[in-house]
Amino acid sequence: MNRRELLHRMLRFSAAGLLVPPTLRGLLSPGVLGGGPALADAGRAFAGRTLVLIHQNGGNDGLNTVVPFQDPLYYQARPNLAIPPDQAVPIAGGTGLHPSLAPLSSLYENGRMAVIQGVGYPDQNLSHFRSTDIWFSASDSDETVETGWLARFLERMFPSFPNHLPDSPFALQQSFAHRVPLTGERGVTGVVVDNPDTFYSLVNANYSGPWNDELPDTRGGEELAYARQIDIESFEYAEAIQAAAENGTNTVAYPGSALGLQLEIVAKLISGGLDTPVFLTAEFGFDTHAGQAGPHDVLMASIGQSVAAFLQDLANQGLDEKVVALTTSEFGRRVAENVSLGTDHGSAAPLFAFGRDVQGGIFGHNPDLSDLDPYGNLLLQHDFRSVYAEVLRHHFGASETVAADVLFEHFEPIGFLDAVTPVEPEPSRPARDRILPVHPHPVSVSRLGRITLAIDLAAPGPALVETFDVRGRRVARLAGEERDAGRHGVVWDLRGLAAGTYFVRMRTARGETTRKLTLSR
Amino acid sequence: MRSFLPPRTRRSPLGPALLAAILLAWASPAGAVPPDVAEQRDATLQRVLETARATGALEPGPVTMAGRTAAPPRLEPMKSPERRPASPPVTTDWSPYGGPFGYDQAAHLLHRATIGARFDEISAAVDRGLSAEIDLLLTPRLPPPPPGAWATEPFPDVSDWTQEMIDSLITVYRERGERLRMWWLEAIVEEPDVAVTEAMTLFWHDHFATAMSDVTLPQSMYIQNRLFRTHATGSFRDLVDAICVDPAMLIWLDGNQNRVGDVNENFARELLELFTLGLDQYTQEDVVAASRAFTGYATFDGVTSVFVPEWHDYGMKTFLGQEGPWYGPDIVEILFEQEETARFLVRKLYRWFVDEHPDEALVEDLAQTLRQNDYEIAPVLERIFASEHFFDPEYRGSVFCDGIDRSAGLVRALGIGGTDFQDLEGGPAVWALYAMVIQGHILFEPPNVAGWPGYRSWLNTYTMPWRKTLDVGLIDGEVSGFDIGMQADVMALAATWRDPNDPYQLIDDVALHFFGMEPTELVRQRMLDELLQGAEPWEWNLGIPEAEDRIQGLLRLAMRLPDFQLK
Repeated sequence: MNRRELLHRMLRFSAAGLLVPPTLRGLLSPGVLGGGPALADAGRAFAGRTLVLIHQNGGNDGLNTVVPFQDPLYYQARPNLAIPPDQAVPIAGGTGLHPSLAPLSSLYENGRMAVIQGVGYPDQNLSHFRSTDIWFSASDSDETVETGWLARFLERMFPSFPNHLPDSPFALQQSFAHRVPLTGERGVTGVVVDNPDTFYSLVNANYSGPWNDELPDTRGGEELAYARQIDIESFEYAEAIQAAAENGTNTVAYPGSALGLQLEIVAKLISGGLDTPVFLTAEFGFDTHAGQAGPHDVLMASIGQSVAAFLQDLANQGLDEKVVALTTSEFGRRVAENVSLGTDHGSAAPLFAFGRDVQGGIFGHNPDLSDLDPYGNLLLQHDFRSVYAEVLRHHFGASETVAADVLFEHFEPIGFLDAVTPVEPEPSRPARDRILPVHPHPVSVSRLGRITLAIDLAAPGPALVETFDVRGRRVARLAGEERDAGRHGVVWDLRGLAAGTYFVRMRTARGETTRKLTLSR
Repeated sequence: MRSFLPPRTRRSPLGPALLAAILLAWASPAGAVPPDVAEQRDATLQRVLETARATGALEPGPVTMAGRTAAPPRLEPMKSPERRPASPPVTTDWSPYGGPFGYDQAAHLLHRATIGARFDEISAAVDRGLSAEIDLLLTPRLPPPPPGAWATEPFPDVSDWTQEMIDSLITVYRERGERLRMWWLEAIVEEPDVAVTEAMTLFWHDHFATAMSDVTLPQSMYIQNRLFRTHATGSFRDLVDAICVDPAMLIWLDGNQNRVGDVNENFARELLELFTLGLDQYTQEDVVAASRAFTGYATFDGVTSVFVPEWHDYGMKTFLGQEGPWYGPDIVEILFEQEETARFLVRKLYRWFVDEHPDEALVEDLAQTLRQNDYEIAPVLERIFASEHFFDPEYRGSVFCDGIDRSAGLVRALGIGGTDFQDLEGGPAVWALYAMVIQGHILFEPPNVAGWPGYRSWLNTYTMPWRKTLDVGLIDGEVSGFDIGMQADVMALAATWRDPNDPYQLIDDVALHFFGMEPTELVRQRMLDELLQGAEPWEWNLGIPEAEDRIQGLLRLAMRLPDFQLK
């Protein structure tokens, strides 16, 4: 059974319902699932520009990633762990890469790799969990924000989300289920998919929606709405992702590391035409407190080989023009090695950005190892939100205002990307068509001769608002004219109406929505 | 006990790495630490030891296994009386529940307090009444028998073992680890009676999250689990005391590496951040001070812990404003003088049992209950479960079922008993491992020391379709053609419902049993349609030939509804 048949069956199934008034059966329309005009495709809105985030989970050791191989202080601080001068891959005077990052050196030489030195934030938090949240949410060190910066950005660009879902998911996260990155202010802006094939068959076999009935205004109702959204999203996107995976190809061999497997799938989906602007991937194991050398070498090899393969794959297919890959990590590590031959949690560390639009080179300087913070950690050169501002403005074309709104304040881009023409968000309007709740409820007919119902319109156009009794007989037509997007008041004259249950229905070009009201004496 | 100190040249305490790596390091101890570093460390050690001897710090009597000294040198404890109010303030916020205790309330209580309550247990709770039910839930239970004699077996001295012997030991440990995982899962499924024990054991595992893949030794994980089980509703303070010297924890958070002069902050930082105070309640200096106090506690065999006097830092430490030559237990004592410790734990209990968003006034009140009861957990749980607040309809269905709830818990709730999960090749074990891995809720394998992120993270577009697939498998007895060796007897299940011959009552009971919240009319209607398949309601009864198919169909639908994910 394909998705359309299933949807049909579910609709027929619910329309046969006994408890729903006959004339209200039409309420169970596919509108909520995208029967209305489709939201502009997320990827198309950004002209196909895509960001691939590579999170190095655990806190990557920046000093052994971008190596200051002429600095005697580096060798003093790390008598055992330092990368010997003759093993570092030199990219500029006194700066080299970890030997296992050698696959990246041709990218650097061709100007497709930027090294951004000393990225972090003031008052570095040394907890993995807090610092990861700070990085994913773009908050200050001392504030807690539960939404992700990319999710907030996507929501600002698409005010009608989540009432209307784009054909391709806004964001696709692989291999890890961290809550913050995809969480927006209005819902979850992406999907977590490990394997497109499995995802497709699982979702289709098990979907039980749609639902457009009102949930109770309780904490339980709120969480059920969330569960339903996840269900709808998986259903909406499974087919798009599956189709992209089938149409897409890979032209190179990827390393078998966790990151290699993820980037292989990302390349395949991009190649297959999935219009998803944000991909989140991760490599694990960077928390190298003890016996760092071997494991870190394996991780560097994974980053180097996977990224090189990914960019080569995209280039072979002519897809590399609009893709930027960016590495992140919750923090760097302590300058001095510890006695367990590892390094402890640190602060600022270098990041990499890759892609054709990247201005190759090194931004910032080798860290000054003679000037450390009281805990022996490196000082900050670039706030991580300047890196994000760079991506938002110069890759996705966000305006300065939108970027400042997403990042809570203005951060000056660093200049490692070629600027693109700014893209305007959809004009600000309600997230979805909606009849707002009435307070107090039930409505006392004897006390109020009439009430004003508030409605939200997500887009301009006609809105037909009618009321029905429990048997489905129309009681009144309250409105039907063209209106602008936004909030409007609609008056309902209650005189002469019996106490009992009524339904208010609103029809727009995008679908229908209904609200149950109880009138009391 | 001083003789317990092994010769350092030959043996090191267990490290937080794969067994192979540990064994390698043992084979060449000199290679593990470069000579100059070792020299420097030994010099520091020597200096501290001399100071300690001079001040008599090394003399204070016998050292117990837990590393406590008979009379630990310490300053006067700082206990200001105003920190411990004599009587609880009168508050209405946790006022006792005064409403009826019917099926609705009994189901809510058991959904939250246990893992996978059966319908007959909900009925029994109604008969018993709220207060008797809470008593039963909080009655301590005997732990199930250990998974084998190996469960407490010391890790052998393998310094003269051949590579083949070591390899075969690794294989044995891996298999025991998997068996241990299934042993716990089976304990949840086979829990004989309603009790909060399994839920609290999982709570503590989440709180003191320790991963077997890093600890490597299954026996250490068993011993830690036994600790959680026996302290399930006991004193939080005793549990923290014990966890500080728990062998698995010593390996997991590098306590074994923490020595005078070579402080490893890992354990102390998490003790403060994740186990007791929470973030922003301490400084980096406090972390260092606590780390120094915990120097010298180590495990050499993975099943017992020792205090190695030569590795302890006897210097003065200032921890949370209190100065003294602190040992580990002193740090715990100071932590439990902090009011924040009770708040921190109570917030977590609230999130686990009531709702993700605790109100700070309620937290404060409950934190006082915890402190007044000397950090005993049972009185706090009793106060929660017996409260008006707990039964407020606002919170029905506001907690997400975790992966264990929707795997082991569901097997139990469906009445599938007598299943052998410890046969690792068998269908049930394969199904259970799949369920745990895919949902990211693997027993003995939390993602990191912060435990599982919980709440909405249980559900995403990956886990949700898989949950449905695996859960529906329990109705079908197979998943994608794979025989899982378990199948719900839905007719036996239906016999436990109130009136399975009344289709409306049947729908209500399925919803009551498996959903957190009363379903909407639309959902209820779909369930009814699924059960009746076009027939009239009066045509339904358990005697019709299609009854079993229909109930199976209804349960499949229930498992595919988003309502099924909340409790």
